[in-house]
Amino acid sequence: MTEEVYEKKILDRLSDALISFLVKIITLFKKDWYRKNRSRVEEWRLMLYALNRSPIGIAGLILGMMFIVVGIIGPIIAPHSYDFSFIMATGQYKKYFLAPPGTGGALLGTDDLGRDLLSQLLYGARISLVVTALVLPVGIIIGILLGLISGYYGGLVDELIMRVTDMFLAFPALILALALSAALTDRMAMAIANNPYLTSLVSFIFAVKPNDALNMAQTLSIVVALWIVWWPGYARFTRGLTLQEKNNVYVEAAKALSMSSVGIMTKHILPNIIGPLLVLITLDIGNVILVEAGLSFLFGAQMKIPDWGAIVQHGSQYLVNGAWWLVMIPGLAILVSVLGWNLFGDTLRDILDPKTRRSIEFKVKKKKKGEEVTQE
Amino acid sequence: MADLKRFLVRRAITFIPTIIGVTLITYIIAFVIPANPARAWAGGIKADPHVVAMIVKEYHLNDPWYVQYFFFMKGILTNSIVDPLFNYKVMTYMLSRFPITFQLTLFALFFLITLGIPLGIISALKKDTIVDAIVRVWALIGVSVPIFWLGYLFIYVFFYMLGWVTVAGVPYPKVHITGVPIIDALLTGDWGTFAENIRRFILPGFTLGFAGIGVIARLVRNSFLDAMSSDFIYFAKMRGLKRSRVFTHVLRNALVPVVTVVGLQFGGLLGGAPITETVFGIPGMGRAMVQAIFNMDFPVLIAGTFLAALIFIITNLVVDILYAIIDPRVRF
Repeated sequence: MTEEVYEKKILDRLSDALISFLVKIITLFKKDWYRKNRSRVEEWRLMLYALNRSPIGIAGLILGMMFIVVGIIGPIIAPHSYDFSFIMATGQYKKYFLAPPGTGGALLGTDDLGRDLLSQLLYGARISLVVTALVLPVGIIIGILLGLISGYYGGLVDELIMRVTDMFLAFPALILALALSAALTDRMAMAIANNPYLTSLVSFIFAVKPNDALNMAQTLSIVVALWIVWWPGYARFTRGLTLQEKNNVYVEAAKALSMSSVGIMTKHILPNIIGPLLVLITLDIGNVILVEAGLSFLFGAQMKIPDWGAIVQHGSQYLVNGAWWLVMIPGLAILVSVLGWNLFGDTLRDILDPKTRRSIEFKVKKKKKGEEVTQE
Repeated sequence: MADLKRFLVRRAITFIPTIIGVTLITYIIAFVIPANPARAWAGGIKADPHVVAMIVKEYHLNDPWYVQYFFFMKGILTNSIVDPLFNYKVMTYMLSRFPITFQLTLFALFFLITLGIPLGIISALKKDTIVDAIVRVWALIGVSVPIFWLGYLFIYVFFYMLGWVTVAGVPYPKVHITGVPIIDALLTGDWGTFAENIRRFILPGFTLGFAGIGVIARLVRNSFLDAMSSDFIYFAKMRGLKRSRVFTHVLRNALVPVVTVVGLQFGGLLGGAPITETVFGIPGMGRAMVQAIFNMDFPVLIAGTFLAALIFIITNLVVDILYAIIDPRVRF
């Protein structure tokens, strides 16, 4: 065959290996999968080639992965506990009161209580990660389900779901989340206090000491508030995509073959609208981190946990003392995490859109030269 | 124009269920509030039980939900809910904060328009160059920056290090006409207060608008490119119109969707920008809500939420109507 092939670089080999590995795992469970889905796997490969050609996308992916990894291992590799105080430990008040970065032992400086900023940030990464992991799946699943149902069935169902969605979208999101999480906090604290299992679960997933579990009530109420704020956007978006998609012939065909509505929605419509949804989800990971940081900043004075936003709020009182690191460094951590997901999402948009992806591919395609045979 | 009238009527009808829904959701917030804030309102653990009982009765805290909802609706519509802590009417209080939020939003809007639109046009004209890439990355950074971080960065540099701006109080002119300080100062020709207001609000405004600037720039760029590749522009070029004339044609068409997005941003910000207002200590609606949370002053919180939604809905309505008027292609 005299088709064009890709000039493979090290990243492409890596992504090829990744996909082969994935295929192997899937074949373990479904024997015939690869034979049936060959073109799909090829498509994945091309997408990854396109991603590999985009430095911005790769940078975003690396930052995003760093956010996840640091979130998982952060509390483990932290040099001190989040409430460890240099002042209490050494008794050197003058040295460790608002110590600038680099002061003996405190790499990123300390706050007014002599607590190590680096350790607090690492614990904060866990909180940020867990909040994101709790908020998004729920918001996404509720939103997509309602959007699919509303778009597919139309009529009264559609009208009903969309009216409810509109009611929620009528609020500025941040204000609604603020009010809801403020109102929920006390009930959440009661729930945690009355349930020892919940207490240990909370202190485990957020990596805080068990007697600080009660202080996580604020964070958990932010999670619940964000569930309520997050789904309407997905419902609206999915509905729009479903409306476009359901007029296609393949949906008609599936109907003619008397496939069930649930089957059509999940097996035909959903796979065809998943691209734009994936982009939105990636961008929203960044959004959740940002909104959660904003809310925890506003609640900061009440929070005794190393949430990034709360650290900034606490540190902001000492900005006039020149303690810039307490505000700037946590803020930078948030910025970098969010930016990573946004860069990745923005590239993903180009890659998943067949039109723009082809243009990326054309740029990297090279004519096959002589006998330089690659594995495909 | 008959069509426009029909459109307005239809739009007004869909307005009603949304408002009812908003009151319901706001009521849910009131409902999940801790079982009994009365004790806290009455003065903490040592509160006089009679006072607690009075508060419970006055705010219907032990009544079934429909009584509470009715009390709450009536209170909002007739402005009869009195704050339990400070003894003012909550809606009056929140509305008194509105002019400041409005002024802050005006500043944000100013930056949104004066920076966002030109940047978008430049990056469309210089498509796929380094300028375009910079605007793209700026847009991405803009939506990734935590507002409070940017705010404190500005405060640190321009207030703490350089001392160019002020970050306390709001300078009011002597005469009140609209209640918005900068507009009053402008109307009465009070240039000193006008300049002070600019010094006070320029940083918060820029901070608040920062995320939007990139968004608007990207939007303008894309709709500008769309308009440039449309048939009527080819036709205009073919007829030999001057470059500047072609440019105005493109611009008029490219800016139509921008009106909607700017309008939506404006509406969202008018409801209060709690983070920016907290960072810069601006006494707007968002700040009032944050303070209410610390005081457990839930009536203010609820009134603020409701008001924010109401303002948001009304701005959206206005934007919709404006859009229909600006763009003759919109079918009602």
